Amino acid sequence: MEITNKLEDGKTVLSVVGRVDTTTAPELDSTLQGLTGSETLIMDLSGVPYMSSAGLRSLLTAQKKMMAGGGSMTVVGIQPVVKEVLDITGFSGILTLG
Amino acid sequence: MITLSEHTYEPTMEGLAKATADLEVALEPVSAKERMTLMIAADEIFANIVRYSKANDWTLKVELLDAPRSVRLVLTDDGVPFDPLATRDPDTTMAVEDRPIGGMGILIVKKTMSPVTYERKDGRNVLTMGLKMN
Repeated sequence: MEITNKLEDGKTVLSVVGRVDTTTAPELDSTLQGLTGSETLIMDLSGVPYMSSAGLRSLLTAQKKMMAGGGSMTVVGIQPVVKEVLDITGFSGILTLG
Repeated sequence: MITLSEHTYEPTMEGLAKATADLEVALEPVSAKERMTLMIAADEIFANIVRYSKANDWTLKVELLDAPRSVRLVLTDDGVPFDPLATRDPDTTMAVEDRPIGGMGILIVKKTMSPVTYERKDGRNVLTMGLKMN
């Protein structure tokens, strides 16, 4: 997994490349822990072919952190298999999808 | 029926990573979409075994079946008896602030795999998950 953190027009863009599962989610979690929660965060998942519930846990933790910190999180670039998992679990309705 | 792979693993994160790598190789004959669906379902069960089962070892067998053409994953572990099919589905309509972290893995398995069967046999949990090939 590769995670790129970029500041663009005042927004924090996190680009994730590779699957997000039990093995790789801790890496995403540790990147997310580095956020203050006040950012305007764009989570770019266009390089994520699939995600298990370990990745959902990371996204939910990030979403809660951004809500608590007054920031926001928009998830963009969602691939079909990731979308299916978001739909099954109702996460499509609780995340802001761009 | 063809067995694509069959291995025994330790109930550790290293064992889980090895099983993930082995499964990816075993599923090379399968289409990308179906492979990803199987990888997700497998990851959910792997994580449960490694985190909660207290097993000494666990196994994964990958089978390719005909009529209908499908892939079957057979997972066994010698840990505490646990029937994932007997768990109640989480509420997927809860607001973000009320959502518990996690609890979605078994729901994903139930919704994407068919058939899914569980039995306790010879002191082991045996979970079988099928996916029809298109």
